[in-house]
Amino acid sequence: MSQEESTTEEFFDIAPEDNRPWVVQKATAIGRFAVRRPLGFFGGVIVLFFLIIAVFAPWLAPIDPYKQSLAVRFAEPSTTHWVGTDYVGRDIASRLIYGARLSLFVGMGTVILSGIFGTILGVMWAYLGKTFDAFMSMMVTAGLALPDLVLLIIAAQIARQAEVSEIFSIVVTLSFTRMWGVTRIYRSAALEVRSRPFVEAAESYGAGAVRAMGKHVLPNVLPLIIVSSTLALPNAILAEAGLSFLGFGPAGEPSWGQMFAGEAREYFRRQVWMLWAPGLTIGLTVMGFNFWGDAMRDLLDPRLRGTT
Amino acid sequence: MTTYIIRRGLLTLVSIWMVTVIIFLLLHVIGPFFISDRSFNPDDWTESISYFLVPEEQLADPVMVKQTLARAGLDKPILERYGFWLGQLLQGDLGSSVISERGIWDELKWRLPVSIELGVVAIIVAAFVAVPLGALTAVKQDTAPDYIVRGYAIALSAFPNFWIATLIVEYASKWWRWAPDIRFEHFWVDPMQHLSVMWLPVLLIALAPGSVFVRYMRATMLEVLRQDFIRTARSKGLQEFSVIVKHAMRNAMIPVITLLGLVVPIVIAGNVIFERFFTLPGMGKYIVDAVGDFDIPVIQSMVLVFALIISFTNFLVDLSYAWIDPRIKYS
Repeated sequence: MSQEESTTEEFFDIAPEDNRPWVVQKATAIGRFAVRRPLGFFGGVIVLFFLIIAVFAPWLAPIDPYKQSLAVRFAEPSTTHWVGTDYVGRDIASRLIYGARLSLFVGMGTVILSGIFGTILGVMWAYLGKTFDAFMSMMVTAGLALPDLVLLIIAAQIARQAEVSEIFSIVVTLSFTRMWGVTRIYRSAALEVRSRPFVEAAESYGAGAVRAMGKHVLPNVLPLIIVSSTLALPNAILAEAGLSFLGFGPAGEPSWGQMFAGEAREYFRRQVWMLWAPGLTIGLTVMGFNFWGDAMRDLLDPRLRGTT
Repeated sequence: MTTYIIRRGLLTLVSIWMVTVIIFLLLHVIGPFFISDRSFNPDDWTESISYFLVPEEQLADPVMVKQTLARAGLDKPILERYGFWLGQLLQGDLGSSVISERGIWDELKWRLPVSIELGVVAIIVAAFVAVPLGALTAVKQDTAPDYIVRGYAIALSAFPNFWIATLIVEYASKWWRWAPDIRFEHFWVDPMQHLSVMWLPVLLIALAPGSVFVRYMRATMLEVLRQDFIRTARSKGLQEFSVIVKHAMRNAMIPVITLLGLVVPIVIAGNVIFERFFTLPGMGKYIVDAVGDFDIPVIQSMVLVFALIISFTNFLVDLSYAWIDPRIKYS
């Protein structure tokens, strides 16, 4: 094929300009994603649904989740009580909706805090010299040896005794225990990026360590950070649920793990939704995040398969 | 290799010392710091730590407070307290509980076997069930068995195992009037009773590592099945069964060993939850009860024991990389 016959677009293999309206373009892109990766799409829908519910909980919850009313104990699901009421007459649906808030807060808080510290430490670890390297490998080995659920229980108990917010203590403790794994992943990614030619070029032009890290290494580690954060969020949700199930969760706050624990266990015969509703909610949410995370990993960087 | 083992061993020791520092900071500095603002002198750690340890009715009596703290060696200044604990540890003495006044080591002798048994048997069960299943999903890729097994693995990693346990206990009692046996006996006292108590917790703890094993085994098996030596084995006329079991699975299984480092913390969390759920006298229940009572000597020793277990497995896993793949050179 000679150059005269082909247009520039064809020659450089550029897609022809799309003149359809923006909405149609986006809708077809989403539709294509839904057909190609149905599980990822399903996960995305769940994640979106969960985010909306958690953010707009006060407007969406039909009834005050703290309000007890012995008159309506064990109410069957109805238009007023969507999934019935529990053993002290609290509305289960409203508690689930407020529980999403707690889960989102713990999940996001943990991912953001551990992500920030993990990124900084990981990239610094890949860059700074021998003493820091020895110090970091010691810290990471120690950090990875910490039993996270046990530390969570201790921190929650201290917080309860000290009348500090238990949610705050959960987020800080989870971030602290999760941070070290994150640091290790980002360090190896940063080392890999650092050995690529464009970073070497930047360094040979005289770019300092800080500039090389911030301008060249960090943007290239970003896809990994996004993916591993998405996949770490459901783990934090599960950890909070486990803690609440053990009875060390935020006292009084509606929490998914706490709804089928403790005293509630004596009353499942009278209100089966106290058992099923929170468990299904946790499972679906975690599954949604996992599917969405997997799809994002394949989209953003297929090389990351199996790294997280 | 030897120098690598020594270096890695030293790193493990140093990191365990780091863990003691972290635990000590959490229990003796951070904890009291937050609690110190109630009618106490905020600079006096000893006073605020007594808030942890001393029953409310004794707080009014300074003599009683002093006695309780002195028994646990907690009436000294902070560095001395740390030195005291570390010195004790180095002599192999874990101290004793403030609440029951029993030696922690005496408790451990009975509790450690229970937890180790739960955890180790759970990992073995998970491996024996999940590794063949994972291999099956790879061999039958994109067919019904693959989807079914993977579906279960995905569900098991999403639905919390303590919720599944609650479901099982609730519906077993509803449909068959069956309740889990919780009258615990040690194996050497009454083996049958022991087994009838332990089987359900073991299976429940095995769920989480099982789903990890299935997914990982599937991935490595898919990779191995595409390699040249498998094609060679097939082309020289070996039975398909022998190709898969002897050639493919054996090679795919090796990297799964390295998952132990990932799985042990999950299993420990399972221990903590299910020992409490089924009231088994293991370490998990010990530490949960101790945290409830603010029994500081027990808490710090038990966190250390868990950390020892995890860092020892991590150490073994790191060494096993070299044993698995002799091409890896350590300098």
